[in-house]
Amino acid sequence: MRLYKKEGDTIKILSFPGEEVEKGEYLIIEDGESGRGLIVQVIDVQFANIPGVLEELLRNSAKELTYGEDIDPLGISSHVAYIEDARVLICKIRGAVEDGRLCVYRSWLPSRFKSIIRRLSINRLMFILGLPGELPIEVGEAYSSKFILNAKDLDGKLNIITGKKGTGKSHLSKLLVLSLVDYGAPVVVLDINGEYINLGFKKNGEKNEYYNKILILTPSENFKVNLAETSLKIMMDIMVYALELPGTSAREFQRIWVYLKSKDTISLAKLGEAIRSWKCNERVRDALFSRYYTLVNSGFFTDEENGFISFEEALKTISCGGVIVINLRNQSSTNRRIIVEYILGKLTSLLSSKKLKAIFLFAEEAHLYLRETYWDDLVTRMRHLGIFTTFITNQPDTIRDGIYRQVDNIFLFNFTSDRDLEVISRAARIDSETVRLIAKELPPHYCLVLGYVVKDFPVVVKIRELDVKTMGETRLFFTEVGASVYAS
Amino acid sequence: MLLIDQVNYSSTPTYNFPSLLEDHGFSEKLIEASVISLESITGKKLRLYVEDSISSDEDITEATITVNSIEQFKVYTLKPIREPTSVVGVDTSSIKIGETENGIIYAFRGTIVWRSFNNYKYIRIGPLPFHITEENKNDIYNTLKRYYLGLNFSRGAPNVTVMQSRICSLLEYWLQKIACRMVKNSLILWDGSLIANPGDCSSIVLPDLLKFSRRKSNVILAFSKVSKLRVLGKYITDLVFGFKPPCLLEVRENSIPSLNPLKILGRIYVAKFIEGPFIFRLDVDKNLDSEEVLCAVGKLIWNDLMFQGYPETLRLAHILSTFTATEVMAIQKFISETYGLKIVAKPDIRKLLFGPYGTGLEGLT
Repeated sequence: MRLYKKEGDTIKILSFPGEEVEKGEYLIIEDGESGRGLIVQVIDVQFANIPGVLEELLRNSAKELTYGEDIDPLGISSHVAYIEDARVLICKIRGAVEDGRLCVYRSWLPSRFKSIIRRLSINRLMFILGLPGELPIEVGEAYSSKFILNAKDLDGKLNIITGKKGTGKSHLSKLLVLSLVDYGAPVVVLDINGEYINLGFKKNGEKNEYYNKILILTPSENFKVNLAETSLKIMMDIMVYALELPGTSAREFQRIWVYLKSKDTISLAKLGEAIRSWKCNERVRDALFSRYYTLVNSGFFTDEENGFISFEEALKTISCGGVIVINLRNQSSTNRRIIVEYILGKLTSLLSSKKLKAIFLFAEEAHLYLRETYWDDLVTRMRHLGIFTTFITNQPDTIRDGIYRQVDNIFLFNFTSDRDLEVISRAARIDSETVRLIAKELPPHYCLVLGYVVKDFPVVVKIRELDVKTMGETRLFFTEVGASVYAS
Repeated sequence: MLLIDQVNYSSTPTYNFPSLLEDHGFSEKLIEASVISLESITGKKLRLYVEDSISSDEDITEATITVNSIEQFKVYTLKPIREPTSVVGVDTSSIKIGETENGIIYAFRGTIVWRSFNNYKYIRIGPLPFHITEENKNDIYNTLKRYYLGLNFSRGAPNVTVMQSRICSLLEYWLQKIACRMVKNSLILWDGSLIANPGDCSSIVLPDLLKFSRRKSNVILAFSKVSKLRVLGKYITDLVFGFKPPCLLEVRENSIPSLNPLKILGRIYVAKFIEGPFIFRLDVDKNLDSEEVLCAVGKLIWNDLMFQGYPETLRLAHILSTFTATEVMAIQKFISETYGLKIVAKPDIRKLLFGPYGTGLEGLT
């Protein structure tokens, strides 16, 4: 490989057959005399613009129509092929090293003729970057080296896992969830498709080592909430944000709640009676009743005392490491919003009162249940309280720019749409060219890791297999070849 | 059941050029001469030619001929003759690869293309690089002449710079000889003219090749893409603009002045096969009469593709022979790797002296 050109932060390197380099790989350009080196990442591989190639190709196309024999006793045609197959590696400068240590790159250029260009293995790169640190999480493989990140680099951070459908986002999310559990972290998963309910099982259906650390809470089934345990603030948030109760009605609801609280008789039944008998405008009463029946019909609230685990108790069970999966599958959009308001309200309240140290929150397709104001809240106020969120989405444009700017780590899977990539590249802490050129060609289960976890040295990783029963059973039509359409 | 009639198809001859080349020990002398010449460059420096590196293989032997009278022309209208006839095209190419301290490195390549059963086939020889110096030029020239053309007399080789065209001609004659030997009743297309120069071996080889060709009932048709032949100051290729193609314009022999010491061995025609600027000079063996020439050209029109008025067989021979810039780089790479030649850029003295001035059009870009 030879150093060819530098334009801005882009370095062009000539590579010849036998020196194949893949997109995303790292190279080190070493200048022996100065003891310095440049770390560059290949973001694109192009054909070298060799003079005469067009003529050669046209002639070869004529040869395809002509049968014949070449007598080339000195084997020069192999040299022609060698030159024709020369590639230009488009690389981005990621950093510089001096005497083997990472240093700030200050427009230094290695010698074009004397410098030596070598592949930089991910192991070596990680060593230079001082990774993975004390809490390693083996995420997968990067160019034949194990790729390990530090769990501490997810602590207190905002992460986004994004990519188009079927590329492996949830798989990575599960891997991170279980790895955090390994280090005793409490994790809450807002599971919109019921994809995490089998986390405690191996692929063959047997229980795995996480079985006892995973708690599946299915609202209206094994997860119901007693109104008495719910604070006014949480109820007001549910009424105003999830159920869009207007201001005047909200004030009446607050009075009713305070009144019932003073009598220590808060229950669904009592709330209904109070609304019925409350002296207020009829339209306000109608508004309150419509919300009341929504709460009743959600099945999430109950007056029953026993048989259900409270969210607070559930959190206690995972305080030394575990996962609470809130199964939002089959929930209506209104119910989802009610449940999420409740969960986040509860978490905030527990964290504020220091009853809970910190929690990792994994939110799948959060735009489907998270109200507008919560986005900013999650990444600012709640983050400081101790909720460290990972958003998982296949619609990156549903996350606002303001959120992206706060993002610490992005795990980017394949996207073919330029629009999606544009959204991410605006937020990623690297140049848009890298995002666009690498992410577009990522095969399934390959992910471009960007951000703090890789010290801003993007790495393409093949996510490792996980012996976990991944999906809930999806009902399929074509289950068996030749299966009868009609039940016999 | 009785077979009451059968269409009588004449079979098209088939050839085996590759084995023929092997039979003639091709891989021995030519490669040997090339390799021996290259051994002398070990450890030297090669100065590259940036400009004019790809030489044109236009007819370098055609001399300027001035015809004084327009009366001396006769125009023939051509008709395709539907008689299956094999068409063989021969062409060679050479290129200057660079200069060493004591010589010049050239590369050579030659191709024979033939049309068989509506398919084109070819055999291509080369590239063969030669390092020509004042010390080895005689050896190389005389060895190749003796071995490939059977010319046993030794003669001093020309200047090193002229050796490019001489070796190229030797290779071309040898391939033409092979083509003549292998086919009969066929059309053999050459690139260039039928003019012999006593200064090189063409004055001996060309008459022999024509004679040999006649013996095998082959007709040699030599096409020149650019002609220096002029009539009253105009190029003869411009004279046929008004005529309807396909046609041949014959330049009568008696109208051509003596070109001493050059010897014209062919009848000179201007060939126009299609409308447009695609007009070529065509030289045909002087010993054939006009009827035979018209017949041969008529067969060519019917048996070969005539895209842009030029025989496809010869076009392919040309395309396959010429060197591309990539190949030049590949040859340089081969030489530098195999013989440890150090490649250095040749300084452009003109640019060094005058900068952007005086470099012609290039200076404007």
